[in-house]
Amino acid sequence: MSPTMTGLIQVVIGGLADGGVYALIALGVSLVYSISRIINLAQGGFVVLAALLAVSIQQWLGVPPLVTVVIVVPLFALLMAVVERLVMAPAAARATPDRMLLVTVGVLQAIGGLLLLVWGNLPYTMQPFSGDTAITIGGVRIVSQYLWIIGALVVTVAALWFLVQRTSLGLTMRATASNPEAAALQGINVGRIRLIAFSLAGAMAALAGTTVIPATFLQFSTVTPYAVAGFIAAVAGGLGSNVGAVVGGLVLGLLQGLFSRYTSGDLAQVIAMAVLIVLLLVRPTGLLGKKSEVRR
Amino acid sequence: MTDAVQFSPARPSPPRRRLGILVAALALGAAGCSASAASGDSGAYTLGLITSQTGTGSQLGVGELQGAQLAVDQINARGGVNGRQLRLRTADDQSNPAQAVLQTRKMLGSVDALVGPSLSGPCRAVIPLATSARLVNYCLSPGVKPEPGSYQWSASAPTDTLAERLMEYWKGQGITRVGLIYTTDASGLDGAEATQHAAARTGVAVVGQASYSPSAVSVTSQLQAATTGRPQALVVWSSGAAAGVAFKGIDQMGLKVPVATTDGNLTYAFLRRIADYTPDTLLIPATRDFWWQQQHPTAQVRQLERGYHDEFRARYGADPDFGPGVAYDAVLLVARALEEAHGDVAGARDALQNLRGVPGVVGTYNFAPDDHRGIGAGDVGIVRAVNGRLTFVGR
Amino acid sequence: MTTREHTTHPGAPATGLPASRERRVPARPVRLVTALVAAAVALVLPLLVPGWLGLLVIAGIFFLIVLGLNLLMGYAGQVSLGQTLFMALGGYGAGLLTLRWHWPTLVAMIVMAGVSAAVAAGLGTVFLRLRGYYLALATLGLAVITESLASGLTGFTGGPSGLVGVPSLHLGPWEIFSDQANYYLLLVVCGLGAWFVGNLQRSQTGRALSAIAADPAAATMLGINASRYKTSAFVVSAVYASLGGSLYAFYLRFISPEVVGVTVALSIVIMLALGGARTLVGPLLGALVIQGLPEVGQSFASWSPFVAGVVLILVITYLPRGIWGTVKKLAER
Repeated sequence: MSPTMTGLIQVVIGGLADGGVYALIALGVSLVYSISRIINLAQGGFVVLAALLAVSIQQWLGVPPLVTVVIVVPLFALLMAVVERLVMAPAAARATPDRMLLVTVGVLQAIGGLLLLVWGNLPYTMQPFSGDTAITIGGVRIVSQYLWIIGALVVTVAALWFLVQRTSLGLTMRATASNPEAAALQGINVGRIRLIAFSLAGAMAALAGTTVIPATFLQFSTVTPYAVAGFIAAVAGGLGSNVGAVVGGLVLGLLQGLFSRYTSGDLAQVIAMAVLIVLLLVRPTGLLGKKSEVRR
Repeated sequence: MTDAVQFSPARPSPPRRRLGILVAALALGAAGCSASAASGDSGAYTLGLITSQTGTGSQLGVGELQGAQLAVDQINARGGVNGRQLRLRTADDQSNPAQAVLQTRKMLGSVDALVGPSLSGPCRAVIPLATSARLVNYCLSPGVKPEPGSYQWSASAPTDTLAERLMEYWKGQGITRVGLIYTTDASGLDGAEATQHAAARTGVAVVGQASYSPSAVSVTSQLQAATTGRPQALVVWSSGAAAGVAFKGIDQMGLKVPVATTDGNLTYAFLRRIADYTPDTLLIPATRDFWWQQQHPTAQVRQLERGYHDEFRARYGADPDFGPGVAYDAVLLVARALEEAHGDVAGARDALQNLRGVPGVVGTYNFAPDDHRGIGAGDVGIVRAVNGRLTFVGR
Repeated sequence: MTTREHTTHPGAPATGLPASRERRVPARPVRLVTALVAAAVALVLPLLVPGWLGLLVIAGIFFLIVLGLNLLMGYAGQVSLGQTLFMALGGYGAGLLTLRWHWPTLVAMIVMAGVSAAVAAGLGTVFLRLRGYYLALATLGLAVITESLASGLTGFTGGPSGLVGVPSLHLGPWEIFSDQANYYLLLVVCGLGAWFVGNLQRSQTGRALSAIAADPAAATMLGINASRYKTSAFVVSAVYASLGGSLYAFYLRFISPEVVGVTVALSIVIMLALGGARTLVGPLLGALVIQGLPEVGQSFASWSPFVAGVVLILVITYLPRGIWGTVKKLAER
């Protein structure tokens, strides 16, 4: 393969890995939105929190990095449930959806502040799960951690699909998602379903954070780019559509990677945003979303 | 019906009464706090020190504050400046140029000179203010290029010199092809340009280069671009997390070539952070405070360096790195200038730019109206980072 | 016709008012006196608290910007997370015109306000058709584009290090450089700005905006051209943001991508929500709190972001009218 070709494929691989993380964030945003109509901007922040927590746990307990996943994911499911009860539920009961957006901004800000307090402003990383191994195919080098990230995404999507399509809980969730008022009238405890949705989103955030940190350095300031990326991917893919969230995330990661390699990083952001805005204006439901969300 | 259904718009709030109370309360409350405005004892010189205690520049700023305090205490112990004590008035610019400007505005009129900020962006923002107030402003970032005869000074060696020393060292080792990756922020762009010029001047070829955003998560594609020409060495002109990402990428790619990076990473905190990913050969162009023991400076310099290093270690329990060095020297030099100018704030500029052969810990300073940095190639050497320690390897 | 006994407050407006106007309105003379007191305090403030003038100037600039946003978000109900676009147009625009091409500062400021108005008019017709979150996202996209362009167009904007050496505002022969001068300037500008917005929302336009925010369908049925009003509100908010941006650049004598970054764009909305939308004092309060918090936190600056986030959550949840709105409501009991 020619060097430019390998270079291109290398960029695509990197972009897909980034995109995998964005997809996991977007899935969390989309899931919570479909149940509660709340756009949780703080989802990206939870990813970084989970990642840094995993680093600390790994150093403190001395366990292999993969084990931190098993510890942090359930921990975060619990944490998000607590946040839902303490912060989201009271806010949702009192505020309009537009203002809920600001509450999640507040949560994001608070998470960033917490990270700064506890972990300071230094970057952190972790050893890759399967060591410093990589696969090389025809000159293209795929770091093993990327496979873990994509694997996490696949597992999440599959588990979510199974939950939503094949279990009674999933049926309840779908009912709540399509019409919360009707669901409540049918005796479904919407509050409990929302709690479950948040917990799942927490687990997803933890999975995203723990699988990405061995591949890069994260610090307190990473919350904003992740939050923005997750938000964009979820909305561009179509709010409420899980498939849309995944596609949105992967495409975003891909575009970012391609543009920042071949043009400049800043102009990459500009072009990605411009494309997104055009998409919103022309096809406002996002790639795969539902029409009712968009116009007045 | 007059009271038919209306839209019931929000009444224009009658805020005046309450606004007045609020403002009055604020004023009274704050008046108490403002009692400390710019009084100070009349017999002391006050240096304003603006550093980044929080934000991206805090790796340097925290150390700078320590170095400056050490210098002030040492000067006072020796009798002060013209018999008067030296005081430090500190502020945190939060690595933000706008904050730096605000903090500077507060200090105008109550300080005799300004040391800092830590980063080039805030430095550039502050200089117009310092110039209007005719205050000497010793910026702690090497990344600014002061105008001749201006009120601004810049710390440490110029980027061009650092890059040149590096290229010369590698040329001496038989390396003629290098790759370059750098961040698109101010210091990265600066360093990239310097590297390219230095390479051209010394006859080294830059066979591949790529840039990346400081917040990028992975740089594999950039590294591939930089290594297509099979370089014998790699320059990574980025600092902090961005450099960490690059080193991680290098490690993952299995690149075994010598790697060099900017002296902005000459902090022990950073070296510890990348301990698992430190390239086998990591070189950094560094000023004298990092290798004074391995070369043989004059007795005067040795005494100064020893005094500085020993007392810093005793006070803070760690070896000083980049930040403390530049701040220590800045305080030393500014105090000297005030001494020569007998406290004339504006005259301090002329005094400072006429200082020659003054030894500091970073190097020996030779200022001139068109040289507001004073450090030259002779003060720059190459150190190698091994296991979190820095050892001298050459000139 | 009711025959309830009215307990009238001394000086209260005579009966005959519709029953919907239940709130007690202080009488004319009282309002005039308090207005004068407030004005007197504001005038004398620089002598009382010289150390805080810098903060007050910055708070004033943001007050202006948030006031503009208030018209759009508070009254017309359109969420815009992208006011920094207009701040950048005003700040960078005026900065470049005055620095590179030596235009007079006042002219540059006004011209850029006009440019911002034109841009807002153009964008508004397209963007304001979007609803709720999608509008928020699109405007957030504008904020990201603004920061990226400011940082990326290095030759033009000075790149990440920003634009240095922007001159101070000159009004005729006077240079507005010192904190005091800037403070008085901001006092006048903010006063005018608040007066204009106050008038606007008392007028037909204001009622139309409230109608559109409350129930767009009903508003349209009543013959209100929603699109035109929304765009007008957007244009006004853009002008305010542009003026704020220009004044900021003249005050700092510097502007950089961080000054118009995404964080700032979000903080503008936060200031409005915190202080209280649909009031005039709310934006001022919000600006003072958000700009003042890092100042208070100089000694413990690392706590400041966390505290800010928690405060925001608490205020939005438990004080939906913002701090000022809640204070007003409590005081009216």
